[in-house]
Amino acid sequence: MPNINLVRLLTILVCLPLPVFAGLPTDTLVDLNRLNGGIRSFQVGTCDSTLFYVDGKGVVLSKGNIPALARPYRIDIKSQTTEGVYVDNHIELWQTEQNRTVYVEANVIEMATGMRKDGKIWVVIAVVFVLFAAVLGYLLFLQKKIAALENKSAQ
Amino acid sequence: MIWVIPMAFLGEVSVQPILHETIRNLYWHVTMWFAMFILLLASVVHGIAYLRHNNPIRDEKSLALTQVALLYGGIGIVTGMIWARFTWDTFWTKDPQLNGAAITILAYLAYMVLRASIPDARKRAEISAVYGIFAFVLMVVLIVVLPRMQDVDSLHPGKGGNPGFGNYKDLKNDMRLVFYPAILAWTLVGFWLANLSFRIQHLNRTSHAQH
Repeated sequence: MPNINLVRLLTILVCLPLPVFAGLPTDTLVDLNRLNGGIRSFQVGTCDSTLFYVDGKGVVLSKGNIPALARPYRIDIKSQTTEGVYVDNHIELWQTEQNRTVYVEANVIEMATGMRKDGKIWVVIAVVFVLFAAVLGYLLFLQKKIAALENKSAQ
Repeated sequence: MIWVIPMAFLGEVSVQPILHETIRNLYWHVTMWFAMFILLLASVVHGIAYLRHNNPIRDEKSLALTQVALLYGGIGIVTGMIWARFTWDTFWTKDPQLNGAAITILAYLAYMVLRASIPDARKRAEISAVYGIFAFVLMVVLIVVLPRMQDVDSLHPGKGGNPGFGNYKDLKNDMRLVFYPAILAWTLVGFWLANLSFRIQHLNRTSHAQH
């Protein structure tokens, strides 16, 4: 079971624009492990690779000195937390002469909750349940018919 | 047969490879349709045999098989809807296979209504045998042929340009090892259920005759 409270808290916290994380090395933009409370795996989608790269542990780094950027640069990463929840991370970087801003968004992917979690195996469980319920229903229907026959032969 | 079925069940469960996700529904939802097809085929065979020999037992068998096939078809529709809800994000699509299946189920429901509305046993058996043949042909066209035709968009695997069972690169033989016995098992269960239903009907008729 994913920790729902944690997920909610995360979403509220990181939807706000954040300054560069204090205490991290200067070229570290976002640590996905910190951001999502521990990740199992991740997959990089859209990435302005001239500026960003992601190391094996899920830390998003900028390549050297970033010049003043004319447009926000972005990177999209889909990661799975250690609790098995899928999270879409959208990271944008703005740079002006005075400061730079990292905007980070973490959206829990709806697809991986409820019936869709655990590889959608619960869908199969539901299907098997319906199947057996229906077959049992049919057997009950036959049983009723047999009972009627028994009554008739008893008379 | 009563021994074979539990064995088929047990064997089936133990060899199921650990495949992720809803692909496992292949063994439940898809087998329902295959088993339904075989049961309806058997039903038509009995229907034709009735038309040739006028043996009321053939009609009773045909009815029992259609009953169970209808049950399987109903399960197929409901389980398909559950599956679709969490893969295609909707309970129902315009997929020709879905509408074809729905029409087939309605056609066989009509078969049941038709039977119930004819009081004369001989006429009922004759008409339902003929209707059964037409309904079967309709089913084959709507479920088997139409969705496979070119230019028909279908979300179902193997149709409308989608990769089918045979195109899975991994584990396809392992899956076959479960899939085919599962079809066999559900078909046998279907025949067993139909047999129970037939015996009840038969007893009903013969005990009526005695009174």
